[in-house]
Amino acid sequence: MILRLVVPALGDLREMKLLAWRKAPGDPLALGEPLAELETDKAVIEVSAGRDAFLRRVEVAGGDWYALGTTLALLSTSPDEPLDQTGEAGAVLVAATCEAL
Amino acid sequence: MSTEEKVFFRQAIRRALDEEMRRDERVLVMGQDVAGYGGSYGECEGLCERYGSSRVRNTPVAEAAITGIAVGAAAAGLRPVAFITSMDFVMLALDPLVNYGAKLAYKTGRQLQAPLVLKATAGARGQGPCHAQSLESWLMSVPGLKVVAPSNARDAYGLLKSAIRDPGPVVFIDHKRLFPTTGNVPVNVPLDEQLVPIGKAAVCREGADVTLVSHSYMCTVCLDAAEALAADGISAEVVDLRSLAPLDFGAVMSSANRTGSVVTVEEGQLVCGVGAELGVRLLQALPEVRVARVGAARVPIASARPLEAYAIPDEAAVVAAVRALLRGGA
Repeated sequence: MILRLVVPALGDLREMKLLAWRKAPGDPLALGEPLAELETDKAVIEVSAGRDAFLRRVEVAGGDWYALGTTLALLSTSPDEPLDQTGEAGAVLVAATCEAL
Repeated sequence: MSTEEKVFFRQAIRRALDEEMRRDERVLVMGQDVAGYGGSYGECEGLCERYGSSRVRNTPVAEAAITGIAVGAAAAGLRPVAFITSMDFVMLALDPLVNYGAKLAYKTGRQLQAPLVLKATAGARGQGPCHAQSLESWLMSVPGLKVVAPSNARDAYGLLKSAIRDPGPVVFIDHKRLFPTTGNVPVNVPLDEQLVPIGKAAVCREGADVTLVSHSYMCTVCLDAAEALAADGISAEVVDLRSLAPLDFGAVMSSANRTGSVVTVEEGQLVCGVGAELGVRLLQALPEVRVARVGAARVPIASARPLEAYAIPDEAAVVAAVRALLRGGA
């Protein structure tokens, strides 16, 4: 199953900054394991996938601003499922969980 | 080469403070939680570490004392930026601010001046009747006091720097709902430094049929309303006052001359408000221009979200006021 990582709406924010990825494409992600750092209007937060998965493709680069609701990365539940067959439209939405650093 | 960087609103404020503190050692910051905590909105992050606790000073929850000390420090030659976390508590600061700060230069024949900035955060965002008010119109009438209220991060940066350099006193009003916003600020300072002059409005959207005049967060509401009106074929110009005292009436008049209709929009009360002042001046200067006002309902702001939303102007209220005004004159 291909998953689309999206950070849920936070307050009145319209955009956020992705500071850095902590994982690279291909890396396994354990439940709750930090995967990226984001900067919000209030603080730097850690993002995790909210489930076990594999990071497959990063859609927003470190240092980039992005609009809320943007897909940050594609994940998959097994390590080598082809991404192209489902594409972003067919991917299942997975809400990131966030914690202040 | 790009010499600007996108930052959050709090970072624009922080950058202005940082640059001015670096430029002028007389500049100091004081208020509740400004030191170790880094400011209520993170707008002082790292300043205490960089400039030390004598220039970034935590204070007790005592706005009269904070302001009194700031006025005294300013009279003695420093350039304090005093933080009032919620504008509601400017009420406690009025005696030192108005009776001492604003009058000092007059009382001493300019032998003494009070170059202080009182930074106060206005606006309703779910915090109930005593942490939600927009009281800027109270301050507009005080001789000797300047009042600025930026609507975006870039102007906040430029106006705060101007306010710190001004012979003062200046009340700098930001807004809770502006903190989640972003804007561009210069990177190479002082090379590309851009100050926003006090007393100068800006046209943030051009239009031909009606002028929306606003300041602070309500400019965002006006821009959204202008977008909605455009879909109906009504072209709205949005004027951001930026400074309330002195008021750039020339900019308002010039836009009103072109559109023939003006709607003032403010988050505070309509009685003796910004719109009342503008409305009378417009009536005197351009009697043929039609004017309407939008402002808060005549109630304290409630904690409950639906009641708060009812009390303060939104896009729908602005659109309705524009339609009624234009219909009335047809």
